[in-house]
Amino acid sequence: MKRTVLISLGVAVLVAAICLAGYNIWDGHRAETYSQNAAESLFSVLEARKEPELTVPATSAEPDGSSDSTSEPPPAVNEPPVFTEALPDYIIEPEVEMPVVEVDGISYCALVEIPSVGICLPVSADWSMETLRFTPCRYSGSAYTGNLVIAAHNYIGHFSTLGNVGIGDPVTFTDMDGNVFRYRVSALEVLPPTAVEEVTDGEWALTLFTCTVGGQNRVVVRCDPAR
Amino acid sequence: MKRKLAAGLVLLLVFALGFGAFAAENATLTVHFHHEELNIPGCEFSVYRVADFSEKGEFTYTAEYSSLKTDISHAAQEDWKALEAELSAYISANTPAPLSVLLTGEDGKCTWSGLERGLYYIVGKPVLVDGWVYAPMPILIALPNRSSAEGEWEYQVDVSPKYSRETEKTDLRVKKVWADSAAEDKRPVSVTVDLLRDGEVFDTVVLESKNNWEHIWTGLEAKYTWTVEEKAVSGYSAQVRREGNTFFVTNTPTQPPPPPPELPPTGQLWWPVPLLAIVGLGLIIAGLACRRKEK
Repeated sequence: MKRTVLISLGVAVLVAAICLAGYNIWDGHRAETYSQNAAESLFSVLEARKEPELTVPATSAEPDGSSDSTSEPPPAVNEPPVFTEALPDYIIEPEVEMPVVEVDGISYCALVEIPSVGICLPVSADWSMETLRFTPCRYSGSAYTGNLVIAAHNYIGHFSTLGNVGIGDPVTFTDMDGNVFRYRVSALEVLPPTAVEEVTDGEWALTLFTCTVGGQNRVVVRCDPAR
Repeated sequence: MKRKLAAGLVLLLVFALGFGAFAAENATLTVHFHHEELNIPGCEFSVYRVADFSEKGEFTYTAEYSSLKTDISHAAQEDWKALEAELSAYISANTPAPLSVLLTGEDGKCTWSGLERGLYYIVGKPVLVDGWVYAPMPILIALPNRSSAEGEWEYQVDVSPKYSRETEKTDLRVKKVWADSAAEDKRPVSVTVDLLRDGEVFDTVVLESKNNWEHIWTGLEAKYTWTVEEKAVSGYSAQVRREGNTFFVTNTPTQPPPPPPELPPTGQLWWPVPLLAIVGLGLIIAGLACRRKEK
């Protein structure tokens, strides 16, 4: 009897282990697919924004007899006003919000790429535990103020390979206006979860973090702007 | 003999010149661009020679304009309107070289002289004077010209173009800036901003994340002083700064938010897997061992 119980219990616990492992794998795959689709959508948006705007030809008004005629060409329909300053907003005022593009209910502010470890992922503008299940998130700061922090789960499709980066590896961050920010990995550290201040204090221009495999600590990658 | 030859040559020269002058009968064309009493200087006018104008009164297109469709050989008033439309389109599309380009002087005038008989098209560029944009309308004119069918042919022609007059316009933009270290959850869903014209509220807009926290106004009259003011947002102080045509309204929290106690857990639950596997295997082994013991 005792034998049966022990074996049954053992099998049950083993099955639980297998189920958990299976669930983790499935969850990671889900997150990977979701963020890959989002990344593709964002790339399309950026490509579309690069193309020159189609201009609607202005129709000139017929001059009439009066000398104080104020007739003017009809405004182009459905065309947003084109407004250009000499410099991009983020250079004039670094505290501006990073512009966002919404895909499937999540507002994304950028795409991050670390080719050396196969990372090419979207970054959502805000973070929450729920959002982290789908995509890497901006945890704090901004690329414009040089203190950006990005967090993601260590899913296979997200930041599982983050800890494998090498010092000097290039990192690219593209915002939704198409501005590209280039960095190089400067340091790799493992910090406890209480190291919030240290992670977000802005000593490095870009910080990326995820959990260690055990989940107890955080793998933190530090980057400086590429010269 | 020599003196006679010289005298003869002089006479021939004078006669030739006289004949030449009579035959050429060159015209001058003056554009006077003015608004009531105000003369408009610095306005660029281009003149295009569109057609020849024979002594018999027939118009024939010059080579450059030979592709135009309007029949102008014996043109009437309606044909001129059609030709103006055609010319305007042709010049936009093909940018033929004008015969000459001049700027109006302080008196608002510019004059072309020594022009041959012909049909001319005059185009002026809009010019800004004292906050007003004056845009001259194009003119189609024959040289020589006459004001009525019975009138004398005029070789010194003055024209005053019709024009449109508008105040100078500008576009302005307001952009919200949150200087709160990305503490989005503390922010209001939207803020309200007033656009003031000379201190009076002219327009009110709502900024929110849907419009990327910005708004653009177009066609505002440049002669007024424009400012923006944000309706008070609790928990934040606002500062307005203008750069170029953009107003940046920066909100800073009056009380900095407390930092979160911990970095979020960003790991999958893997650690129980080996633990459970070991425990499970251990139990199975223990169970099998029991069987052996009983045997």
